[in-house]
Amino acid sequence: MKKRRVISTLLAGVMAAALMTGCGDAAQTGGAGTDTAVIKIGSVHPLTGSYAYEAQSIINAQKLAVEEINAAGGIKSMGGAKLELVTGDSQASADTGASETERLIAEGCSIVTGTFQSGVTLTCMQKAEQNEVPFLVTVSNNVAMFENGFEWCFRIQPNANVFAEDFIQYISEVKTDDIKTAVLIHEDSLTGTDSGDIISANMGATGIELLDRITYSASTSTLSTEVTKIAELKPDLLIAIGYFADTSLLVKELNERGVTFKMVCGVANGGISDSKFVADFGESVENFLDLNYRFNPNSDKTQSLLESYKTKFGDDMSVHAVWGYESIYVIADALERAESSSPAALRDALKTTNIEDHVLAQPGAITFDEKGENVNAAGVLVQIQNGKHVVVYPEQFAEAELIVGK
Amino acid sequence: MNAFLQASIDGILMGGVYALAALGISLIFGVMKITNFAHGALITVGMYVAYEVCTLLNITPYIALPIVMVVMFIIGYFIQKICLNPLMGVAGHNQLLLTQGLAIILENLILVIFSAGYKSVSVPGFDTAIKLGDITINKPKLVAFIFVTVITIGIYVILNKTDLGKAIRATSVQPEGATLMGIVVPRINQIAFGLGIVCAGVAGALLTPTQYIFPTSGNTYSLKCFVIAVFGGLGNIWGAIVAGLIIGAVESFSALYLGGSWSELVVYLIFILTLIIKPTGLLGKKAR
Repeated sequence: MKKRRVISTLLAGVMAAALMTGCGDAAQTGGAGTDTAVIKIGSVHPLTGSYAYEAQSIINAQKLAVEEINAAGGIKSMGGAKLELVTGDSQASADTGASETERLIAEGCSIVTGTFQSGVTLTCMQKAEQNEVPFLVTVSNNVAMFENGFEWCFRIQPNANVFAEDFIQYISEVKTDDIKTAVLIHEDSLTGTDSGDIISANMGATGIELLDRITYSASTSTLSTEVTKIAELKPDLLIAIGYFADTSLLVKELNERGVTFKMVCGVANGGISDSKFVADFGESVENFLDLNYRFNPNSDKTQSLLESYKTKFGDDMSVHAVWGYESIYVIADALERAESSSPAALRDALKTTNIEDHVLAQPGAITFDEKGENVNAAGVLVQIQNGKHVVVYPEQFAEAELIVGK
Repeated sequence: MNAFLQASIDGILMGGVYALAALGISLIFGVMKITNFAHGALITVGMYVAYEVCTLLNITPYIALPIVMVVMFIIGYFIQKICLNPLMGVAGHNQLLLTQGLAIILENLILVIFSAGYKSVSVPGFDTAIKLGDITINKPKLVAFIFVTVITIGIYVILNKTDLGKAIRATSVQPEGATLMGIVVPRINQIAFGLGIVCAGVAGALLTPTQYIFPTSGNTYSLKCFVIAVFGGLGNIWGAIVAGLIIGAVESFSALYLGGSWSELVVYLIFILTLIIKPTGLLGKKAR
């Protein structure tokens, strides 16, 4: 009985404390409207759950960009106003993502960014629309979410259509004559299915025969049956669309059975484009290709960014993280022109974004169309050569020659 | 035909690991009528314990297994002692909520301690498969299957041939009666929960050579193990084993013939059909 009383007292205390901090927040938000010294930028990413590693890397890159901008004098048109990153955890759930977006807006964020998962991003975008606060997508490539006529949402990265179309185009241009057959294997969530549909519909244009399209669930614990099918078909080209863990599982089982191909190419593949993947599989994934978004390797700006990220966080900057980094610069640029942190002014400024000086491997400036999509967004072919990721195509961004057929 | 044979072998080997994890759920439910929702998280804990022991001592997960078993037993023993014993005898949903909460705590604790990155364990010589003509056998899964067999027999012997087993079985049938016979029921509960968690942890450890380790990697197995435990008949050891093998094979065949998320759909379909047609499970006794 006594124990129970202690617990209830404790609980009451905790609740009171929570209420008090709640009030504190509200007071602060009320004040933020007039005080422009700090501009809050929201960031909703899945900090817990399967994608926590990727989410953390995006947030790290955002923090890095915020620090750089603040150190260089903040937003100059607003008297050197400083940026502040406020993070929210979507827990990889669409509902939580939406409520976190709501919270960040209530805490006075002028804009919210996120979320790494298309399904979650969509509900966050809806919340931002309802509240008339701009939303800038860091990573999410689903096409349909920008077809809803949203007015407050923007995306810098190439969407799944761009990836798939670029894949078809580049592969037609770089393939050699001995590559005649292909098998497409992809995870069957929205992301994988979207790209898979476009690729299987357009494979004819490449002159390569698609033997089979194999789908699996990304959370699977084994892919041995799928690998059995691939081994029987013996395609020249394996096209793989998936995340880190499932692609690793696929490669592990292919290696065990000694199944090899003339060419392996991912499409926005979370494994092939990851440095840990290369470290784990070493020689066996040499010359693997991935059609993915990427920083521009031939720019000095990128090189110094990669170095400062590594120094600050002791880890290689992932390709996803670059989009977190660039998102902050896009926002800072818009703030500079808007001369205001009001969501409406910021949205209008974002609409006229035109950034030539960026770290992305895309031809031309970052600029948005009427849907909010980056007009010049593009993918590049990245190849694993000597244990490193190098851009091999198109030539404008290439660091090395493409190697076909081992 | 080859594909069929290959799918059967892959499915049954994988099913063995499912079976072991499900055995833990079944054992815990059988003795204490607790549905342990933290099982998936404890599979993850088993993976991390194996990973830590392997990297610290530079050994393979198979040699690390005894250490994993001891650590997992201690974890299970104290979870029961501290968290669950005070809740014995109250309405079942309390324990359910508690284990669910425990799962969230464990998951986040792992996130704090190990961070979110992917970790892997490699076993020298295990990166190629055994080839028998056109059929290939995955070595880590084969070894896991052997260990699963040994451990299942071990648990069977403990339950059926020792005084401890007799006490555990007595507790499962009639806790009050067992108390009257001088059995310290809370302690038996702690041991039973510990054994159940050893199953989860060993399953986790055996998966480490084939699977990446991250804070939620056990979740893939969590629901599947429930399905298996219910399908086999909650509280029935052999039921869990048979059901595990069946589910493993079904999963493999549906990947072969249906593809994609169908394999998961079929597994849950079986679950629902079991609940409708034979709620006590394959080998379960008629409801008392």
